[in-house]
Amino acid sequence: MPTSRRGFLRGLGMAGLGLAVSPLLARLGGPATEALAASEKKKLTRQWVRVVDLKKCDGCEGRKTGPACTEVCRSTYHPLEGQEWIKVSRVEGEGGSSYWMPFPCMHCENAPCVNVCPVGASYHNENGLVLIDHRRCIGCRLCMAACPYQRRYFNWKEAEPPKNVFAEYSPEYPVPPIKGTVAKCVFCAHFLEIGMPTMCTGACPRGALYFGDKERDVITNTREVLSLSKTLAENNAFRYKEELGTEPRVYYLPGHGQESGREARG
Amino acid sequence: MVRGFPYSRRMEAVICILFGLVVALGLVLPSVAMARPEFLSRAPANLSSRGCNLCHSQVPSLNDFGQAFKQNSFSFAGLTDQGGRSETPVATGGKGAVAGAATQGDKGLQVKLMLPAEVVRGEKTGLKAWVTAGGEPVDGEQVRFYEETDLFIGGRMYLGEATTNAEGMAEIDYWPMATEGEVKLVAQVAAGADIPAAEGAATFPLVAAGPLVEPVARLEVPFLGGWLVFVLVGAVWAIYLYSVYSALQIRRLGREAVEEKVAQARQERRYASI
Amino acid sequence: MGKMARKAKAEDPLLAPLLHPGWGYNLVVVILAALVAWGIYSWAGQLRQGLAVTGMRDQVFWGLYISTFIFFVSISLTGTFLSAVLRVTGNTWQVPVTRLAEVITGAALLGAAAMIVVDMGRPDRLLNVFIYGRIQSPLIWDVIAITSYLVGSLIYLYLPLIPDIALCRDRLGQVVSPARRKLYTLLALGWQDTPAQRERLEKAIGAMTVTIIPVAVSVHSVTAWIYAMTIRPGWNSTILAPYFVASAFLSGVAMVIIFMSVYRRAFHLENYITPLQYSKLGWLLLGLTLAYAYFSFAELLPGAYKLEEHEVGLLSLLFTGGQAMLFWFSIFGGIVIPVALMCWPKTRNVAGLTIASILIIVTMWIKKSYLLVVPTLQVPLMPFFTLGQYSPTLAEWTITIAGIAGFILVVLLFFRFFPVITVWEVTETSGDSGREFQFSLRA
Repeated sequence: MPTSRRGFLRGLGMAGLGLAVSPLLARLGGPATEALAASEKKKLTRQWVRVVDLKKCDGCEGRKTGPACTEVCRSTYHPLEGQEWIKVSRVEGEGGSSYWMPFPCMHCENAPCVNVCPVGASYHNENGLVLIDHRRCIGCRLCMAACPYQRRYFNWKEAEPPKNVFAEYSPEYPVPPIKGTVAKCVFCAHFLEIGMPTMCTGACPRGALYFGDKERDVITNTREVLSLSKTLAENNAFRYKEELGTEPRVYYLPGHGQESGREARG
Repeated sequence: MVRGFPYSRRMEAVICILFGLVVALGLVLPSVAMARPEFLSRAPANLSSRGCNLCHSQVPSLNDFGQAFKQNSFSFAGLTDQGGRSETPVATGGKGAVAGAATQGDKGLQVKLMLPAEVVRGEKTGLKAWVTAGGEPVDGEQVRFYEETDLFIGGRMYLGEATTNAEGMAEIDYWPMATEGEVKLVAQVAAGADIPAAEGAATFPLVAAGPLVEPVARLEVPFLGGWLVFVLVGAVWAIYLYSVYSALQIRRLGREAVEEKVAQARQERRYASI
Repeated sequence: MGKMARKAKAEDPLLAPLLHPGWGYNLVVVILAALVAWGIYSWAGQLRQGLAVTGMRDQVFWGLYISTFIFFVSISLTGTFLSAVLRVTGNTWQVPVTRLAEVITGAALLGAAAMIVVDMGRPDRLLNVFIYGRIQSPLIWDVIAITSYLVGSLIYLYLPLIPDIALCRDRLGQVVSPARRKLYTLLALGWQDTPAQRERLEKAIGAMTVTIIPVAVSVHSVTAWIYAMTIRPGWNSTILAPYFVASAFLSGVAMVIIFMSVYRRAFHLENYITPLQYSKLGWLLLGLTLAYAYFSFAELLPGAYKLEEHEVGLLSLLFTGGQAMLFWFSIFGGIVIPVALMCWPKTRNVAGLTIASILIIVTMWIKKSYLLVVPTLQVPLMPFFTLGQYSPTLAEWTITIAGIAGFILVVLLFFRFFPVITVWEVTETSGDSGREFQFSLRA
C-alpha cells in the first residue's frame, strides 16, 4: 500500500512537471526548426517597406475632412473615434520652421511590441509586417507600453458595425474592431495580397507615400516605380527614432519644403 | 526518525533524476540550433580540412572565404582556398557576354545591351550598352538605363546613366534585384540635335540567390539560454514537491504512532488479564 | 463551553477569536464584503461595456488597476522577508507575527492576480496566457514567478500551520460545527506531535525557507522588468528591479505593523505581540525607509542630470507639474515624517510606529505604484501628442477599492478559522507555556 502511494505520488509529480514544462519546451524548439525550414526553402517573399517623401507631403492643408491618407484609412478599417492609424502631424524643424510628417506604424524589424507580447498575438508575417491576431490578444496593453512610436490603439469599447466590409475578419483585415484588443496600421496586408496597393498610398493626392518591396528593391506610389536603394541613398533617407534599434521599415526622405507645405517661420 | 530516513533518500533520488532531466533537455535543445556544418560536408577535401574556420572567423560571422562562397551562391566551384574567385568573368565588348536584342533608331543608331555571362541576383554587375551607327561605335552619347518592373503598376525603373566612350560603350554599376529569375533591361539614347532617340531592350536570365533581406541580428549570449529558466523554475518546483511530500509523510507517521499506542495498550491489557 | 472554562490554557486568548470574534469584527467583515460586492457589480458593468468605463485612454492606458497590482506585489514580499529571511539568519523574535505576514503575502498575491484580470481587455481569454505563452515576454516571466511564489507561499503558510490546526482540532473540535471539525481533522494531517513528525515538519519548513527567498526576489524583480523592458522615461532604467525589491520590503513590513497593531488591540494579544516585536520591526522599518530614500534619489538623479528629452518631461511633471502635489507628499509623508516619527524618542512607541507605517503604506501606493505608472504614460513620445490626461472614474475607484477590501477580507476571514499567532512556535520559544502546550497536546 505505501509503495503504490509513493509510486502514485512520484507519477503525479512527474506528470505535473512534464505538463508545466512541455509547452515551454515545444516553444524552445520552435524558432530553431522554423529557421531551419526557412533556410532550406530559400523562398523569396515580399519584404514590404514604406518610403515617405516629406518634400511632397503638405498635410492636405485646406482639406476639410483631414488628410486624405488618414481619411481613407478610417473609412477602410473603422477604428474608434480619435484613433488615427496614420497620423499626419505638424513637426517643428530647425530655424523656427515646421513641416508635415505622416506617421504610420513603423513595422519595426526588431519590434518591441512583438517582443513583449505574452501570447504571440503580435507577430511578424512572412512579409515583415507586424500584425495582431485579435482572436488571441488578451488586451494587456504591454505592447502599447513598449511601442516607442505610440502607434497602437486600444479598442476600449464595442465599435459600431461598419457599413462597408470587404472581407471576413483576419489579422490582415481587422474589421470590425474587436472590443478589448489592441489595433494598429496593418499596411493593408489584405489588399496587398489581392493585388491592390495600400489605401493611403492610393489616396495621397501628391504621391508622397511610397511603398514597396525591399527584396525586389523597388517602390511605387502608384504613379512611378523607383529603385528603393537608389532612392534612399540619393535622398539622405532616415528612419524615425532609429537610434532606438527598433529597425523601423518606414523611411523618410527629408528636405521638407522644397515642393510644398513649406512654412519657413512659425 | 530513523524510519523516515530511507524514504527521504528515495525522494531525493527522484528529485535528482527530475533535475537531471531538465538540465539535460536544457543542454540538448539549444545545441540543435547551432553547429550545422551542412556546407562543410560538401566542400572539397583540400578545403574541408579547415573546418568551421574555412568560412567563419567566429560563427556566424563570415571571413573572406565565407563571403566569397556566399557570393558564389553557395558553390565551391571556382573558389581557391585563398578566398575569392579563381577567375572573374569579365565581359568586354561583345566577348563572353549575352547580348540583348537591339532596336534601331531612325538613322541606323543601334543600342545593344550587355551583361556578363552569369549574373547573380544582388551582385554588383557591370551593365553595358554598346551604341553603334551603321556598324561604327558612337562616342560621347548619353545612355539612360532602365529596368522593366511591375509592382501594382508596370513601369520603367531608372537605374542610372553613362556616356559612351570611344568604343561606343556606356557602363553603369548595376545590382540586379529581380525576383522573377530574369531581368528586363532597357537602354535609351535620348534624342539629340542631330540624332533621333533610340533604345535597346533585352531580357537576361538571373542566377537566383536566396533572400537578400537578412533578419535583424540578435544579441548572442554564449552559454546562457532559455533552458536556464527551466532549470531554475524546475528546481524550485522540485523543492515544493519535496516539501509537500514531506508534509504528507506526517500523516503516515501519525497513523503509525497511533497504531503503536493501540498495540501498547492491548499488550498492557493482556498483561493485566494475566 | 464548560469544557473550555475548566481547561484554561495559555493559548486560550489565541483561540478565542476563532470562536467569538466579536461584533466589531463582524461589522468590519460585512462592510468589506459590501465593498467587494459593489466592486464586482462595477466589474460586471465594465465587462459588458469594455474598459471605456474607466478613465484610461489611448495615451494613459494603464491606471489604478495596474498601480494597485504593483502595490499588492510589493506588500506580498513581507511573508518571505519576515519569516524566511529572519529564520535563516537565526532570529526568533519575529515568530509571533510570521503567520500574519505569510497570510498577508497570500492575500496580496491573490489581490495582485485579481487586479491583473480586472485590467485585461479580454479576461475571458486568460487561459491564452498558458496556451500560447511565450517565454520572451516579461509578462510571462511574471506569470511564472507569481504562480511559483503563490504556490510556495501557500505551502510555506500551511506547513507551520499544521500543529496549530491539530490544536484547533483537539481543543475546538467539540465546540465548532462538524464541517469545521472535519476541515481541521483533514488539514491537521493526523498530527500527534511525535518526534518523527516534528523532524519531518522541520525538514520541510527548512527546505521551503531557503527556496522561497530567491522566488520572492524574482517576483519583485520581474514585476519591475515588465516596465524596465520598455523604452519609456522613468521605466527605461536598470535600477528598477532592485528598487522594487527594496521598496517591497518596506511596504511589506509597514503592512505587517498595521495589521499587527489592529489585531493586538482588537483581540488583546499584548502578551504575545510585545514591545520587543515593535522595537525590532521599528528598527527594520527605519533602515528600510532610509534604503528606500537612497534608491529614490539614485533613481531620479541621473535623469535629472542628463536632461534627456522625455526624461525632462517626466521629471518636470513630477517636480513642478500636474503630479507635483502627490510627488512631494510622497517624499515628505513617506520618507521625512516617518523617519522623524521613528527617530524622535517621544513618538518612538507603538502608536508612533503604527502611524509611520500607515503613512508609508499610503505613500508607497502613491509613489511606487501610481506615480510609477501614470506620469510616465502621460509624457508624449510623439510630436502629435500633448501631455496625456487621466482621471479615474467611479467604476475604476470602486473596483480598485474592492480589490483592497477583498485583500483585507481574506486576511480577516483566514484568522476567523486559524490562530493569528503561531501557537506552537511561540510556546516553544517562550519557556513555561511551551511545556504546558506540549503537555496539552499529548493529553
